[in-house]
Amino acid sequence: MAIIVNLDVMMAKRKMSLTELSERVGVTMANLSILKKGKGKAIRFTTLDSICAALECQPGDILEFVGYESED
Amino acid sequence: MKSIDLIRRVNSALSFLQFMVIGMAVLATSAYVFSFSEMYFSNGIQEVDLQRKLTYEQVDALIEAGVPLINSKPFIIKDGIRETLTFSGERETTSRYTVNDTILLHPRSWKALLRLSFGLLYVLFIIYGIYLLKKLLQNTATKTPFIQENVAIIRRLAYLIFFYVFIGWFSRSVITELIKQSIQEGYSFSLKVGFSSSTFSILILGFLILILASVFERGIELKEEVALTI
Repeated sequence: MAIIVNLDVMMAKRKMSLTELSERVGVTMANLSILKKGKGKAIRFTTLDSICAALECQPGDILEFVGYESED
Repeated sequence: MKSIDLIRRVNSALSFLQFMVIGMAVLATSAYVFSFSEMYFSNGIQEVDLQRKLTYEQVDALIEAGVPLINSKPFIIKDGIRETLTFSGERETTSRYTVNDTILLHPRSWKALLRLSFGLLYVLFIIYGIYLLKKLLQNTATKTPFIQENVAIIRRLAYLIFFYVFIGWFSRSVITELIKQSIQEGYSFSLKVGFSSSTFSILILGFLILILASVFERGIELKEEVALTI
């Protein structure tokens, strides 16, 4: 997967723990942990909306496309 | 009826079927072993359509002498005349000879043992098939049906059906012809490959079950995607 999730970076900037974020967003800690580790296959817009609202950031602050390595 | 109750009832029915199949296999094996006992031979009288009476010993002697036994009803060709054997008397319904695919086999012959062996192989297939079905039912009842173990079980069921059809064809065509050839003197060996309409139905069923396994695999993928969608 060429998209990485920088959730832990934003959480550190906002000084928010996983527990607090889980309560604000309404997603279980286990699922947030999956997202943080980059193991998630997809994210709903409603969940992204809630995370951005809780962390007061843009989707681009959390999701980053790193691209694929060239085959040269 | 709740699905869990239905699964429980189907499980019980499968256990009963398994018990019956094992019971029949034990009976068949016992009958073969028992046929070696001297007490099995009796002096029952058999009537033939020419009003001649033959004892078991006389029938034994004719078969041991290699007199041909062919065709759709059990009969002996002797001196160019066809004589039908009708077993009557005490053992009317339980002929001491195996009449299977129109072959009369001496109960103690190696041919009868071969027949029994293939029959037992069938039984093993059925028992294993029932075991797989029970495992599938158990997994569906206790866990989700979309697990890798269930895909493996369904694939095995399909392969079991293919083996079942192949073994059935093999025993019917090849073994029957070998037995016939050894009974009939001067009969040239010709291998007949016979397929009945039920063979194709069962083969199609096997392929359908393989397709079902692929559907279950896709189900597992979708389940994982949903589980990992935050």
